[in-house]
Amino acid sequence: MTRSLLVATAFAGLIAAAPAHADKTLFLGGIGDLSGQGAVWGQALQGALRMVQQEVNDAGGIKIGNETYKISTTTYDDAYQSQKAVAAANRLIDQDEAKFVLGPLAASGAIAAKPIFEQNQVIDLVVGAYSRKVMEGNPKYIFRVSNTPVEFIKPILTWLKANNGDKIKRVVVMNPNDEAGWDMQELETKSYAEHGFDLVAKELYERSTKDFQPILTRLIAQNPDMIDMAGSSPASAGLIVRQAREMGYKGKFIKIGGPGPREILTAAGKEAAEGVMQYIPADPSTEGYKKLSERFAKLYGHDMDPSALTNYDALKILLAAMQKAGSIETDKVAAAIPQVMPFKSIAGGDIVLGGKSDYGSDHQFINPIFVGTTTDGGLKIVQMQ
Amino acid sequence: MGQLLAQILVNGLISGSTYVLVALGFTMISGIMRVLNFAHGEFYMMGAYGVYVLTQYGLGYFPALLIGAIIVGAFGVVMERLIFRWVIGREVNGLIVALGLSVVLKALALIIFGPVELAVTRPVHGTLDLGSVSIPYDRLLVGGCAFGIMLLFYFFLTFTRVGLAMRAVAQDEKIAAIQGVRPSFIHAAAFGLGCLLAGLAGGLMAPIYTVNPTIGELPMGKAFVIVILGGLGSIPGAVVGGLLLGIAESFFSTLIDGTVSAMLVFALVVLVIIVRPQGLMGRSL
Amino acid sequence: MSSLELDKVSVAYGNIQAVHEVSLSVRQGAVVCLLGANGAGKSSLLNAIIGLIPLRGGKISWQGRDMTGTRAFEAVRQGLSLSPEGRRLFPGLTVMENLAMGAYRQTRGDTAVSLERVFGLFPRLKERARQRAGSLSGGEQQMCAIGRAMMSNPSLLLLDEPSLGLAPKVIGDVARAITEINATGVTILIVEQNAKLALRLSEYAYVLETGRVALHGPSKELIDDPHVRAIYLGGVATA
Ligand SMILES: Nc1ncnc2c1ncn2[C@@H]1O[C@H](COP(=O)(O)OP(=O)(O)O)[C@@H](O)[C@H]1O
Ligand SMILES: [Mg+2]
Repeated sequence: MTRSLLVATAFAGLIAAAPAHADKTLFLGGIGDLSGQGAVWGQALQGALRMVQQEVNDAGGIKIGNETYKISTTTYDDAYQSQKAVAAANRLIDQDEAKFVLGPLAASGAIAAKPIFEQNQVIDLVVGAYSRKVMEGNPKYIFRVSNTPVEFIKPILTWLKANNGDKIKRVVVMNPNDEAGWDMQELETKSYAEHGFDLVAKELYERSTKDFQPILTRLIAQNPDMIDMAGSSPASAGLIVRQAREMGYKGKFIKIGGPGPREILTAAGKEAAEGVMQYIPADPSTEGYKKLSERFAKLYGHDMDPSALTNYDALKILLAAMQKAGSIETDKVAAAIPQVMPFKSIAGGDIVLGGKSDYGSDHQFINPIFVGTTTDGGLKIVQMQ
Repeated sequence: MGQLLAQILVNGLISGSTYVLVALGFTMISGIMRVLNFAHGEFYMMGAYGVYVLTQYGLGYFPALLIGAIIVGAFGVVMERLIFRWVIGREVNGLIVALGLSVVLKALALIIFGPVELAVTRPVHGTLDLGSVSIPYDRLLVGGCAFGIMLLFYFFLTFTRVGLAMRAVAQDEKIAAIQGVRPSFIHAAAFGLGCLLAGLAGGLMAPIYTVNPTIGELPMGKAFVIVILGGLGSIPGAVVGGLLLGIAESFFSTLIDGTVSAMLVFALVVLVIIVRPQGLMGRSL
Repeated sequence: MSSLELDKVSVAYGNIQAVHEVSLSVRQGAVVCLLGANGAGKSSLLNAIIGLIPLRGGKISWQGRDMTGTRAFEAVRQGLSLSPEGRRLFPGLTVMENLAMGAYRQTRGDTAVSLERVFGLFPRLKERARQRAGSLSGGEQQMCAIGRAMMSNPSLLLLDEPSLGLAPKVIGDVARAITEINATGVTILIVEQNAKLALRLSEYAYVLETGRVALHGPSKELIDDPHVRAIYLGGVATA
């Protein structure tokens, strides 16, 4: 099904490439995990590129300056590995002559590919990639387009304290034992303390873990009021929820980290997932979200991961900046990005540019922040201030 | 403390029993064909998808588990006849072929099902509370089935003509042949049976965890550790090694933590390799 | 009338030719022995007859049927059976299971009859039935190997060095069993380095040297042959 779609898109591409009048082509590259553990996010990245391409080309192209451009895109698979991300970056720049790239997703890949983009003056819109190092050293061409815990942890904890502060005192944090998990744990340790919570246990587990019973046996013995699955993959988070409930845990769950409501629901099951809170980058109940989600489902045959919407917004910001600059020269486009902010997300709410206080330069897109609470298999959404 | 120890033991035995199912097939194929089937985890993955697809078509969980595993076993036979029979006895070539097949099967799953996590409806719900020990019913079911399957497998190898021939081929293929055993039949049957066991394990675990194209990697890794522990090609070794690994992991990760547990288990394996290179139970079916 | 017929049989391992155009015949119901030094090609020849090694050239027939190219797992159906050099029992299987393997192609009823017969030949095996074959003594292992070969109720029994490494008393037991087996009409081709024993058991003998038949004749005559005496019977030369 996916394959026939690919063929169909390629075919449509061929027809589009036989021009009546010679439009120029604007190439947008993608780097994402299409085959490994992060494939859900990789597909969301690829999907955003394809949806933007589709709508621009269906509308007859995009006018930038005096030229009209059709968009073409290619996304390379980095399997969540940094050396493959570097190879993909080189390939995009050398062979495809890309000037604009979305991805990589993994912090390690984004950090490794960063100097290549900077040297070649290619605008790179990094997605996910929670490490601080992605933004270090005042990069000129690197922008991070999705929120990271630095952006969303404080608003979420403030909200939590205000609404549940009396019920939630003792908190347990669970993270995978790798660089992303360590960063997350450090940040959360600080933030929970600042907001007056009592962090009774911090657990680092191996990313491959599926049987959390032994770990949970120990953690539940600490009588926590809330378990934060933090940087766990959505599927792991779902398994933690389900197994903890089966072991008689009665407290709350939150996941302040990479979003994946569908995976959490799938892995935990509807019953156990009831009441689980999680960071969500976009409000699925809005018209804009639903429309985009339908288009995504047409391409891939299943529901859209919320991160696709963030990617989609980021690409729209990039195109707006090009139009503002009246050029596709990367220097001019990079300079125009601040000028198109704040930018209205397709799901409502404003996207602004920030990051100077945390990273030293304003290259971080700050998207609206939501907490979704799983209720009867759906999500009840609250926007953070 | 006694209560905690009992819980640790029960957790370990149940997770260990599912490791055993994967390790049994892997070790049997290695013992009979001298092929390290590193695609074994993908047969587990297929078993899980099998249950997913068949239950989607309205089949009950248990028929789906059985039919799915039989399909996986049949697919194993086809793979043996098409690919693996050319590399029998050449361990390095076999390894490369198996790794290649593993990549292909994962890619196929990705194309067909996408990278999403799929869930299989649980056949049972709730938790059995024995006071000192509590066991979720679905895990109890998995553990019970796993031990049942182990027992059936043991009877098959010990008391049936084909089972006997499989053990004989593992020990001396040429001499088995002059008794009238057709080696190519035994190879295909053993490979298929090994894959069927992996498919059963995958189908049993599908409702416990989620299903995605890479779920075979973890059990494959565990199975490899187990056969090193228990002895490559040894059936009792796979059982002892699997239960030991399950209990050790449960013990270390409950009392210390998951990472230390992984390290200690690794240290245990290195120790066994040094002290008893042939594994705890030696190298024979 | 001769029943096992080898016509210019050659066997090779890669470039090394182990057997060169050997022709021999074994009369139905006879015991014939194959003598030769270590490396002469005796085992290669037996393995070729049963189909474990493909022929490089020549023809083999048994009871008038062409056996050339018969594969190892088919030989047992033609009535052929081999007790291999070094016994080659399945060490992890019990004595009973080893015997059951010998009867792999037999029906259940025939198996029971064969088992009765084997236990009659080697009562010791009955005592050891539940023991792992790897834990048997050398003599018991040899009995088990011959017993396993007899379980298929063969018409032609190939024995590769059945006396190797056995105590004299046990050699006597094994020799008696061989005679008994032959008395029930089984044709036997026996390979031995113990020439004295082999010549005593057999009616006809072939001597193999570097893969070729150097000498053959009735066993009674070869016992007195100076060449045989010098090389295979401990160098006791006749005056
Ligand atoms: N598997 C083999 N590979 C290569 N050469 C072999 C093999 N088996 C036997 N040979 C060689 O063939 C020759 C005959 O060996 P064999 O038949 O075992 O002699 P015998 O049984 O008379 O001692 C020897 O030179 C031996 O080295
Ligand atoms: Mg020999």
